[in-house]
Amino acid sequence: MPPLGYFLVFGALLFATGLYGVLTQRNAIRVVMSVELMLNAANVNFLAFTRYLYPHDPRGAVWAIFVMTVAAAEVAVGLAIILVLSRRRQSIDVDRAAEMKG
Amino acid sequence: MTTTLLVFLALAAVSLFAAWRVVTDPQIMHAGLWMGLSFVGVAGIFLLLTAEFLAGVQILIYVGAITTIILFGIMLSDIGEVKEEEPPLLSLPGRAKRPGTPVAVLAAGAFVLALILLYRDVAWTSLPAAGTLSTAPGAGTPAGGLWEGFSVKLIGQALFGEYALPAEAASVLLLAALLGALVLAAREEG
Repeated sequence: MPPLGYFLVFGALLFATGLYGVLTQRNAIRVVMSVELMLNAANVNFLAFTRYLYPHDPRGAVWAIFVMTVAAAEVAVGLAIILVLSRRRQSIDVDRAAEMKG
Repeated sequence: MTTTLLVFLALAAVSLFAAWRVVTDPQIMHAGLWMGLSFVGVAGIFLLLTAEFLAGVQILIYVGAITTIILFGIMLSDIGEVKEEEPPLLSLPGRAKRPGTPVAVLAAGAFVLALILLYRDVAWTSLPAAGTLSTAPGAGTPAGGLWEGFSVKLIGQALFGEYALPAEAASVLLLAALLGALVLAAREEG
């Protein structure tokens, strides 16, 4: 079994990839994808810490389930917003979507 | 080098490479599919952590639902910019195609560096179950018993016991997200 640090570094690298995507992408859909990668990295950390440091404790898994729930809700609402944005503004460039009022 | 370590390295390499392709692949549909592959790799990591229920949920929600909805979102849009077939209509003056790339590399790199330094310095021994942070096979597994931390039974008991209220709040959140997405997407149809 690899030591805990391996999983933590993997989570950090996955999160950093998502962070890089959020900071560089201008297409809103790609920003959403990058955010999903970051949420996944958080789940990796939850489960790794539970596995190695808190045996017999289901709380890490429960929180991971909540993270997945929020991720699903976020994607649904985020994509609806992006589609409305693309219809109204003919653009989903996050740099140009600076106001919420249509 | 044990087998699990090899499996871990392979899974980590696949999901990190796929994640990298998500942010670099020029075709956004391919980026979405790479994202799905990255989620599958992370599900494998969950299996390695003996969280088989979470791995199943990961496949169902992330690979099954989230990847699908993003791909549908791309396909259903008739704006060429969404599909990245066309460059942005109006480029902001003075901005390259990838604005602020050095800043992003710096931020991501500094994040990883800070976390690694933090992980190295934290005294894990102050946490409960000290000593499970070892390289020994099966570290942290209770002696003479099956691993219980991720069993569906315990998770279910926690979800409907200690975490009953947050679970209900999460269901309300899902309902609100469903209605919100419907209202947002349907408004324009008139």
